[in-house]
Amino acid sequence: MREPTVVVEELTFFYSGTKEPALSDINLTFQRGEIALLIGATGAGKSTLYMCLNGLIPHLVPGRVGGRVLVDGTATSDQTISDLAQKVGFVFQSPDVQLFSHTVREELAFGPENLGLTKSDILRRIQLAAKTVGIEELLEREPAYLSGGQQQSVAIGAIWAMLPEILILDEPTSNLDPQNSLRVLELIRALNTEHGKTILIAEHKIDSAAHFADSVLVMHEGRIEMQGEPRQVFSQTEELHRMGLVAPTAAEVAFELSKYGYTFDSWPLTAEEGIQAFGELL
Amino acid sequence: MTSAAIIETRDLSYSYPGGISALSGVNLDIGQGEFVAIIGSNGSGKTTLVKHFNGLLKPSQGQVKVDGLDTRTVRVSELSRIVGFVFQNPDHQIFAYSVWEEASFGLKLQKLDADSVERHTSKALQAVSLNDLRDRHPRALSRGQRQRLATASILALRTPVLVLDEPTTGQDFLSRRQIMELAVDLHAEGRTVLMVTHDMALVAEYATRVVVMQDGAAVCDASPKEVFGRDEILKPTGLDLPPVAKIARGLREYGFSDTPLTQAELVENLITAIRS
Repeated sequence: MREPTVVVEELTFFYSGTKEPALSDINLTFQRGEIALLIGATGAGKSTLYMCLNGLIPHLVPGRVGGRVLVDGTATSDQTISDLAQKVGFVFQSPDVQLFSHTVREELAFGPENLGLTKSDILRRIQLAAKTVGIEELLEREPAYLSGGQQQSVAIGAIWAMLPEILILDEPTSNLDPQNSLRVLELIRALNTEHGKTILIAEHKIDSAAHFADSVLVMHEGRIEMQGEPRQVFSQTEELHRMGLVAPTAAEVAFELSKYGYTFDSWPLTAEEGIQAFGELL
Repeated sequence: MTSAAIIETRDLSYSYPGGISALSGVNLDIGQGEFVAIIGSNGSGKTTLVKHFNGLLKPSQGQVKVDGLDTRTVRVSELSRIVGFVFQNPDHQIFAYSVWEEASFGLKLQKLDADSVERHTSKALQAVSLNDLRDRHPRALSRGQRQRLATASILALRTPVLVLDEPTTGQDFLSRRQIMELAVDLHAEGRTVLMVTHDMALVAEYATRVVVMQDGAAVCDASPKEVFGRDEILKPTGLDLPPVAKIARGLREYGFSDTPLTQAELVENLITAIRS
């Protein structure tokens, strides 16, 4: 049986000086080794939720917290930010926000150095991270001159060098072309299957990400409005529209066809599933 | 070539300092009032190309003319009255202390009277739903809002040509639609819109012409239906078909023969095909 790595219980958060909660009554469990896809319109509360998971809330961001977040069985309020930084890694949306070093090697070394590891351990972490994300050839290069896809791999590698249990990725493919997006999604998949890491990924590019996750969380106005397997969540198209969201194209087309009385045994998510499902009608 | 071309490139080549070639031999005529998508993988030269249209970059070889003016001989400030450029990363563009300051800056440079500045700025901010936040500091906006502010500050200039570099990156569904509706309105007013993007669904839905860049060359210049209807065009570029076109393509082996560009079109074509 799988064990939970993150448990969120009745979590509510008000930013200092605000009357509307940014998060209300969030209950969630992430199992070890799970990939969860988080979707929600701008302002739905995704970033606030990340900050609750990596401890910036309640440790640094002023505000009022209700409920609690357990990471590895201990409440985040009882752990230090640096403890949490080793457990919960956060990869920013644009790698250029995160990357700052002159070489990829320095970038990968930064996290382990701050953990106070010995020199030989730091070197080992750099090698491991570079190998895992496939950037061993790039160690002496300057991050600013790499392609978008390479930069995103370096950003993920720099977090990976901390060996976190949980990886949060905020729209990791938004600046990337289809090939680089696929490369990054495959990398994330490998981190999950080969290393058993828990992964929370937020994406607006729903067509490429929908089938990729074990579970989907839908946030709206600070609440988790829907939660379940991708096929279950993306079959509730009208609900998603109400929250300013869309399902993958194949699911949207299936929804339109269902208005004409056509039914589907399995709700299509990918283009391939759509071709199969619609082909049977032709 | 039409006489109404507002942008013309002739054998345009460009190498970055250090000799890395980014564009080679690009010939394009963009007519006034066109809605052109420029697509290609990361590093294919899309952004380098459009930076020539407002004089940010000058050709290493060949020539670029904007509204008949050779970009090597006119000042960038003069070109900026013709070509408005919205950058991919709004933070490269935004510098003012309030939303209103940011959106009105270009107009003030044009030395318009205060009433006109106010009128054009408000209109641009309303178009991106930011007029209510006009006193807010740009840093207090979300990334999506900053992207819309960057767009508004260029819109306010009412240039005949608008270049949008990845206008919808990181935007949610509703903001994406809002930005694109704005582009459609400007196009309907007769402006020329050039859009650089990876988002093939956006290209299929909105563009009337597609220029495909690969390794610094314009390898294809055609309508969206042609580009997304023929395998051999996109395959070598590493780009994907938009989901709608991908589904339509796969359905060919079931006897489906249309090349729809939008979801609504695909549904309509499917219903017709199922019923016949």
